[in-house]
Amino acid sequence: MRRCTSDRSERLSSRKPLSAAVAILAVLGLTLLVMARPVAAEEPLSPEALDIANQLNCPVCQGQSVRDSNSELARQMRQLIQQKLDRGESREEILQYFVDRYGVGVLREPPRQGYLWLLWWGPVIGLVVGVLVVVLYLRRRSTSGDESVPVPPPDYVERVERLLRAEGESR
Amino acid sequence: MAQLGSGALILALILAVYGIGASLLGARRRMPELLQSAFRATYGVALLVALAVFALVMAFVRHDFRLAYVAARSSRDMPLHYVIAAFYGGQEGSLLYWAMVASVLGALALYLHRNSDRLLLPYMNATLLSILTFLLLVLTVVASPFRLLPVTPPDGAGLNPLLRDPGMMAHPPLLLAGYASFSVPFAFGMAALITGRLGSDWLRAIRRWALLSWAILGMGLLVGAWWAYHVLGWGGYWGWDPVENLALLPWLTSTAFLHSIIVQERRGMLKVWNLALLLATFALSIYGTFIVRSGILSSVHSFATSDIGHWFLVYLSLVLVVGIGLLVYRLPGLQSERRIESVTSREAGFLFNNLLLTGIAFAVFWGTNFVLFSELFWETRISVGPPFYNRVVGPLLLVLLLLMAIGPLLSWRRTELPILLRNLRWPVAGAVAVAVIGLLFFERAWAAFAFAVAIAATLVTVQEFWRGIAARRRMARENPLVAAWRLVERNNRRYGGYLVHFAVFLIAFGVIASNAFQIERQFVLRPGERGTIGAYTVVYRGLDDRRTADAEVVSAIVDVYRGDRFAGTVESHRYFYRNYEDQPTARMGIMLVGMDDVYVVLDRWQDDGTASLRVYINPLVIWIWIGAAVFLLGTVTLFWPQPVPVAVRVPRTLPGAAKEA
Repeated sequence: MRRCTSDRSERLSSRKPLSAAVAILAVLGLTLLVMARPVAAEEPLSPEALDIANQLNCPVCQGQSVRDSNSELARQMRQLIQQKLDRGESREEILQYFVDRYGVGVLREPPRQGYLWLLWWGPVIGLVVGVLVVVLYLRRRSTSGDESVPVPPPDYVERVERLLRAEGESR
Repeated sequence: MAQLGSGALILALILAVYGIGASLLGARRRMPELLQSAFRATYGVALLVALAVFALVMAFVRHDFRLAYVAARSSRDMPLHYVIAAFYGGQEGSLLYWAMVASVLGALALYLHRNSDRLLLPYMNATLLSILTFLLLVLTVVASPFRLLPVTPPDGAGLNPLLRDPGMMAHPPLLLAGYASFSVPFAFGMAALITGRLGSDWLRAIRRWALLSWAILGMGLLVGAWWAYHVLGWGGYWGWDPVENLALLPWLTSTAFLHSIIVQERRGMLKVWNLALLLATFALSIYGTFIVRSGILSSVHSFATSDIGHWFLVYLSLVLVVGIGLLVYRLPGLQSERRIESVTSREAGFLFNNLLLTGIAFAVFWGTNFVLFSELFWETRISVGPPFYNRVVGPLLLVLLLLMAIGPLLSWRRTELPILLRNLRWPVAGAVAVAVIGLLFFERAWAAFAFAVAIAATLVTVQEFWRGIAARRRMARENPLVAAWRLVERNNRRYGGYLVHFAVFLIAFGVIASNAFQIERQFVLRPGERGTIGAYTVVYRGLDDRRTADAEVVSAIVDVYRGDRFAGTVESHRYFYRNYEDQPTARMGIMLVGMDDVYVVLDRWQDDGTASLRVYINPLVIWIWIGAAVFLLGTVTLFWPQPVPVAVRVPRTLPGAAKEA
């Protein structure tokens, strides 16, 4: 049977691209330093740990969160989160820890600060502009009146109605 | 085969360039023979591109590994259907497929409209051929699928494992065909702008083509959601992945377009806007096609990257400059024939619909591209994912649902408020009931509110059907089934649209429920051990290890119980494909129990059989797939051929009027 992917020692160098391997090794080393013992192969995660993992991007995969990714690095990050939680660190401290190491891109929800306000306000501004355009369009339409529908002269209306009546009777 | 294919492409390129010249010259100088020859050039291009596709598919089927493209994407041990599907599994092949769809549909459009839209056709043809010229140029100069390898390898590398899935047979071809087929309505729109024939001829000509593209793209998106759901293993179907987002954009703008052309048809308004939407839809299709390939945005779809990005960027700017230029040039001819009289009118309703759809499209576009701006201007890598979109787009979608509850009740020109309120009576009552029950029993207040809005919209639509059927029963004394059939048959555009609305509601229920009430648990189990999640118990029976022709498959076998009752056995697989052992892929074990999906992910395992499993309970996800079926039904209804209106001969003078005249 194929060994599972968690068997890290033999697979790392051959399987991942170099940069990924380096990143994993770095985290691995880091993890070992922090905990001074090898990562327990399996450790069930608490809902809070899963929640924090869901706020982080897996740095070596494309567009998946640490919670959802199957990569080795993500697995170790999950374990690290759990261990930090067990040691009583707060959610903010844990997130900050990862931001310090991987940059702000590791956060799945971009923080509301600095130029990133542009990201958050962009859609709102777009929508407001859209609403303004629609309102202006409606107003221009309603103020410039009803002349678009020409009012027929009264004798014409009378004649049409008479014809319609005649039509109705002839049936 | 390689010579045949690349020869066909070069010939097609020459023919396309000739066709553009012949169309324009023929239209200018009024030379019917030249125009005829230009149209034939388009048929020829379609045939030649199809021939190139045939050559490439044959190269795949015969395992002709002299071709670099074939060698990189298939291998001898792959099943035949994946070998064939591998033809669009990479960039060159998918561009060739794009060109095939655009040229074949374009030729078909030329043929079908040959008698009805004579004045538009030359320019439509020229626009279409200019799109094909660009593609064929890329296909012959930078991204030829027929490039030969210096040395023929004994076997190919095989298809990227992520693509070896039944979804591969439907999702990429539908999505690419959706993108490509927008060329046809776009070409008609440009022809209308060039000729200045901006009445409703061109609209009538393209409604079905726009509808076709929109339906294909929509199905492509839904199949993609299904694929993601059973492969990616995060228990979801839509991850706001950049590439998904970019495919959603033209779908959103074309949805807006399909609604706003109704206003132009009925009331002669929004002409500029409709052309702008059409232009935006096509530009976004091009953008979506190339950004998948460019590797600029990081995405789960990044398996076919290359450097043809700047080709597309140049082309895209060309399209935008020419399109916007023509639009501005023709502005005076695009005045509305009438004005909007009231905010509570159907035309105003469509206006708000367009505002919301483009607002959502803008938000998605902004979020997806902000990643690029951030790297460009601030040199910071950020990621914009589900949290952003859920927060920004979620509320807008809810408002859109709310509008779907009101829109069908608005009448043209002006709606009497008392009548509107009376028609809203029952739907609002239903919504309030659902909201109260929801607030009492749900933990999440937003879910109660969202359900209430969706219920109101559903009830309004049901009421529309109900009243239509009731009217037919009264007038024609038909039994309910016949009345329902006739109602939809006679008014297929209106009720087909409502069917699509039903599909949206079903999907909305599925999305709301699975977002609000998903449960997730992680278990580490030895064979025979059990875990509980919600009302369910899973019993892990053990691992199974199999070999297939091209892969090794490890499966976890799990029994599912609801309460004490045995519900069934589910297997969650891991695939290790030859040559791609480092990229294991998965197929999740999904079992439908009642309306809940029990979703089992095999994370990892040890030699003694201990497995780490993630289990999700996803309620109502099945409604999303039912919604997809209803969507298909609705679009078929929209296409349903209408009997050509019988020409009634109107007498010169009305009876009774003769004497006066």
